[in-house]
Amino acid sequence: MTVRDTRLRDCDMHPSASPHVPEPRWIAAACLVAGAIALCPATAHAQAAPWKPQSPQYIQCPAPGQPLIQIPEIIAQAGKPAGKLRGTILLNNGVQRLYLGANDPTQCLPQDVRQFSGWLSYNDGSGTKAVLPAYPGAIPPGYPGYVPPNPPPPSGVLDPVPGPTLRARVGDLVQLTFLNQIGTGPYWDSIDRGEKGQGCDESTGGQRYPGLDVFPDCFHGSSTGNIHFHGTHTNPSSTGDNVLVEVRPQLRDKGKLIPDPVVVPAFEKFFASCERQLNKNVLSQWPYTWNDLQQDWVNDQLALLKRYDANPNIVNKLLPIDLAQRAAGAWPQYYIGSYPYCFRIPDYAGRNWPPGAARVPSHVQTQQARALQMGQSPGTHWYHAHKHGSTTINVANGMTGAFIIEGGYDDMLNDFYGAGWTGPQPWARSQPVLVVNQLGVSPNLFGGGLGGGAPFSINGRLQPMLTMQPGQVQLWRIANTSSRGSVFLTGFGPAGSTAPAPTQTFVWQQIAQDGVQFTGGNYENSKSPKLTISPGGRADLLVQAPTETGQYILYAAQVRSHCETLDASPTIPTVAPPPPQPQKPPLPPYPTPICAVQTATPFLLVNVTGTAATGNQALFIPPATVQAAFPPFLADIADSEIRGTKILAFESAPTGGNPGAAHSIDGHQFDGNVGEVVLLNNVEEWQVVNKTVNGGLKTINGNPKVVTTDPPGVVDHPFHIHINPFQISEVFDPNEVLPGTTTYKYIFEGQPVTGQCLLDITKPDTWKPCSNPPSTTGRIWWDVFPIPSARAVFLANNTRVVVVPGYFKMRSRFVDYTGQYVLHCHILAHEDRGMMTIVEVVPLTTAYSHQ
Amino acid sequence: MAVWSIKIVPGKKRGAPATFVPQLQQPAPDGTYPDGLYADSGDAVSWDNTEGNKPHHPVPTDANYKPLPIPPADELSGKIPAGESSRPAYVVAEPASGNTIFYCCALHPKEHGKITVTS
Repeated sequence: MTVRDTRLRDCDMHPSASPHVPEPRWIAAACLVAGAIALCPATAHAQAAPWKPQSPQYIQCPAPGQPLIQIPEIIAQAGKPAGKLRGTILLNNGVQRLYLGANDPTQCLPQDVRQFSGWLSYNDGSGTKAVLPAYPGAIPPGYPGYVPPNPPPPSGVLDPVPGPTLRARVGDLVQLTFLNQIGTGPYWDSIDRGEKGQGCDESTGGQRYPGLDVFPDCFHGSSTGNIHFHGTHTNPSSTGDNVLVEVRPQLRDKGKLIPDPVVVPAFEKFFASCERQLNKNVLSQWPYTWNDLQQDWVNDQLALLKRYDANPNIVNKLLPIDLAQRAAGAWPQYYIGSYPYCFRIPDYAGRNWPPGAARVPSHVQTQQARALQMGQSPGTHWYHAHKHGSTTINVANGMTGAFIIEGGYDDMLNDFYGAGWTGPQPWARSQPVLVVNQLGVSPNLFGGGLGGGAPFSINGRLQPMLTMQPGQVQLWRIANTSSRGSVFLTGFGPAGSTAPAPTQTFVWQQIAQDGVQFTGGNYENSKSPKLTISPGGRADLLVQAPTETGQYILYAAQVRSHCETLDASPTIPTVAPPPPQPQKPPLPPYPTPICAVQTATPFLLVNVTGTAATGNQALFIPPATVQAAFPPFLADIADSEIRGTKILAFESAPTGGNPGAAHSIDGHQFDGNVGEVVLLNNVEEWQVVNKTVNGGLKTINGNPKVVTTDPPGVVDHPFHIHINPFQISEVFDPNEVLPGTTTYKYIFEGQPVTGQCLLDITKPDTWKPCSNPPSTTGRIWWDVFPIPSARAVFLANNTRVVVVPGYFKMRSRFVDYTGQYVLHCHILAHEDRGMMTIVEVVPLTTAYSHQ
Repeated sequence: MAVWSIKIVPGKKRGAPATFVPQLQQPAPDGTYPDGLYADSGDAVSWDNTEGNKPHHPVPTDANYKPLPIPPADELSGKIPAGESSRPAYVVAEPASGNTIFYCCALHPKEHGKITVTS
């Protein structure tokens, strides 16, 4: 094989850069493990010999243990009657150094990716960049004081950094300019082909894509952008948290952006109008139609769409679609280059719940006098690209960021903990924000890929190092923005370890889930749990370092189902069990393949150093204090509130072709139509079912044989619904096992042993949990929750199989905002390929009066 | 897997053949790409036609740049209109022999390039 020499070594491009030689004490500790490949030998080898690319296109990865990156922030400015979060999210493309699963984890590749960056003003080349946060860490590229990691990337290549952290307070107005300036050239034509009459991305090779996938439920259009503000309780329509709009890239002429001078002045005027309108009524969903927008910008968009459509290759023109939607009273869908986001983060100011009726100005014709029911939960939220068909690739490229919404939760923490690490700023702001992602460039259908998924990065770096004082309590705001994997945190180990220590020297307590704080009781009961954070989920942890200085490793595994989090020993069978003995039938429960247990690998490195923390900064905030700050609008949903029920079934079904599975809800793939309808301010309980099963019987030579059907494999689809959080009232996991064993908890024939439950296979209404129902009080609020996988139950000496679905029941208040938004699986490849539907919340009232 | 792009760049002189320029990879000291694009098996490759008025169409060839019959699995791209990028994405496969995939433009046979498969 002809392979060029080491021309591409970064040291050749940066003569001043020193070769990477990790500190000896980190050589053992920084064993990055990707899949089954331990990195220690390669890292250690780097001391003895200069690094070499495995082939010329490769460049050297930064070593593990680089300081945690500070993510720049766009921070709301205080104001009366409301503060404002103003800034620009710029979407463009650039070359980044990515680890893409080479056998040697020191081997990275320069890849052109789509990326978010943040500005405090419109980015016209003279704008002001987002500011650095209060927590300590490494300065990101492009900011004064930036020190590249060791080894530095080659010239023209940057290391990944998440989108800017947005930081606002409940009650604030969000006024963000979104600009799409992606250059579409490099993306294997993953531009928007729908209007060219072709649709899906296509690839060659043995696994040709799209295969059985059908537009729009296929990967496509990755140069289009929008933003979903995940976890917000706000207007889902028009310029709110509206994921149905699609913003095509700004037009170019011979590769150069065509300036659009209309945007800045038009958006200034629009934001001023928006502020006036939204300040009239906390429930306002203004703007309602394009007539409410700044008309210069509307006319500009009409002209841009016309110019876009003038391309002779465009078969399905966009402008007529927008005009038809406008004429029908709908919010037009397609835009070119720019979009204004303007909405309120509602503050529930009442001290009691439920609220009384509110006075609404009489000129608000579309709303009856009603009061805010929920308000926004202050906490760790996030935002990401959410254009159907390209959410996976865009998120994997790094189009995600944290959205910290402050409120009474932060006041509580600041009151207790006082000033932060580095100065007089509030304590909660001086705490690290940890944006987890699985960075990559492919949805993994074009061939190759990482199999189990890309390794987790934190703030763009693999295994970064965070610093703590001995005994110090920190607040870690963790947002799992990955497109695929759940983060299963398993515990800490000392430097040099390969697994969590049996006895933990770190102590941690979870204080919020999915941006919603815990009750005092839940907080008190959450000491040092093994914790799973679904893709899209968040966890706020108060973490206390040991009093001994030293370096430590936090371990995590990447999982897709609860059964993957079970203890690895005793081994769970993953292959066909022994054939049945006719003279000696196997005793139920017959072992069946469920899934492979995942091994935790280093996730985050912690350097405990300096002087010991003292005072409250070495204490956990008391549960009673947490309880006292619990918002009244997060009161438990009582049985008596429920006005409706629904059943939704998620399923990844084998296709027998390529791709191997089709993803649907209630048997339908996403088609843009409404799947669920709810009346405004109704409370409903939904049973969310997972029919996806890994296992089945196949007759081979006349004998039934257990086979797996991977893909899809055992997968607990992470259910996510926009706008309103929910509580879990019941969980049924048919794959559940008795603690410490591989014995199923649920059996369907034979005699149960202690702890087992015998369910009637002939009566599906008996397939429900038999013990340990979730508490009816103090229930945790979620916006992503994994639906337990189905189980193939083998009966009658494995001659018969029945699929028993898993499910959970959730309760939600569909309050405050009408409109259409989506629910979907947060394994984003499933969402892009059809596992999504629209929920419409319709108003209680009509425009008619009856005098 | 990685994603790579090859730019189709107009010839320097009028009437000169276009050249295939791998992106994100360093040229040899003389500014050329003697081994073409380096890519692992399974990587995705696209061609970005930067010529304003000429379509191009990369097709596989033998080592002498004589076009080969194209079974679907060996397809590199459809015809690429001026100013557009290729479709479908080419997923790099190990060549039947050696480690180099040779190709030329079906519309302009003097334009050729190659992909060196590295693993």
